[in-house]
Amino acid sequence: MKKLILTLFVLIPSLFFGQSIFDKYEGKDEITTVIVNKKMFEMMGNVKSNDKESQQFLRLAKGIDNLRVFTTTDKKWSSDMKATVDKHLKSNALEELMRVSDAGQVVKIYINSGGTATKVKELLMFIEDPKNETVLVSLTGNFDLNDLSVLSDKIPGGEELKKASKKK
Amino acid sequence: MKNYIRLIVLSLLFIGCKSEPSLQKYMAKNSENNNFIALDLGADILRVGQDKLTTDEKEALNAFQKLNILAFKKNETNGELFQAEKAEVEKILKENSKYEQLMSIGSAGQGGSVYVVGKDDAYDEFVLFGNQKEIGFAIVRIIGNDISMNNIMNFMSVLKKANVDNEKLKPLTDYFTPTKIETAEVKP
Repeated sequence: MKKLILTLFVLIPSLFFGQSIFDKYEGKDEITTVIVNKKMFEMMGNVKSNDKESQQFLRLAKGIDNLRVFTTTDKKWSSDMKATVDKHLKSNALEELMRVSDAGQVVKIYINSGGTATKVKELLMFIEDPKNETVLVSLTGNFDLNDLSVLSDKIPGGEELKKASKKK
Repeated sequence: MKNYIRLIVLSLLFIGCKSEPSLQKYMAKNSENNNFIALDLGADILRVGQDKLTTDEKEALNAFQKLNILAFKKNETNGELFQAEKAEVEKILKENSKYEQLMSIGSAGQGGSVYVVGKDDAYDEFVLFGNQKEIGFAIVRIIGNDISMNNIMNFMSVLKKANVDNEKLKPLTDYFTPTKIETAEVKP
């Protein structure tokens, strides 16, 4: 009986897998959200392609579980995002990969590497710009940091990502 | 004891028969409602000459069967209904496990999302759901048979060659004129 309860306890969190602390930002008027799910990446992974860049993209796509982008210009939500990011950093094994400050804009990139130098389980990017918008990008899965450079012109902060993946 | 077993068997059967709410039913239910407009289109809307297509493109075109559209137009008086109906569609898409969300985008009172039905590179249905708080919402079901990712890529090139029959879309465009609906244009 004890074993059963224990198993249930172990299983229950997995039911909520895919939920994230950032989900609360969905559907808010002041926040622009873009969410791309695993199924989408799975589907994209099925595209047949020959050129090198799209093959790199497909390899990346297969390894991604979830992409979430939240953007806001609202002061209140900006500070809420910052607080949530800080909280998330504390409770997860994320290390700072790089930090760029430029003309008031601060870009921070954190990763949770799965042991090897370039394997990434979670990537978190937080861009603060008091004059402009706050951007939060969360990428989860199991992918290679080097493959990320193909995304550089597709998501906000992509240029910084490109630099980050070269640095490693 | 026997009664118990009978009860359990009965209730199991009942659970088994419990049908999940589907978009199909929702759309059929509301197609006659004055707040909605429904439109069913076949692949012939594309008016593309078969001789102009490659084998891959023909195959892609054949994989797609029809398009069902249901749109709700918001006006001064149906604001509450809009919220309720929008919530119902969102509930169906969320709770019916056959719809898997591919992606969603949202911002300042408008949003769009794409769902798929099927697996292993053989999809039978794509659902686009777009909403805007001033205009209304629209559900588009793209129905086909074992659509593969390559079918979709080839279908894009069919679309480039196609000469879309605007006359068939007229009920929809008229319905929303002068305000145009903004469904999120996302390529599946």
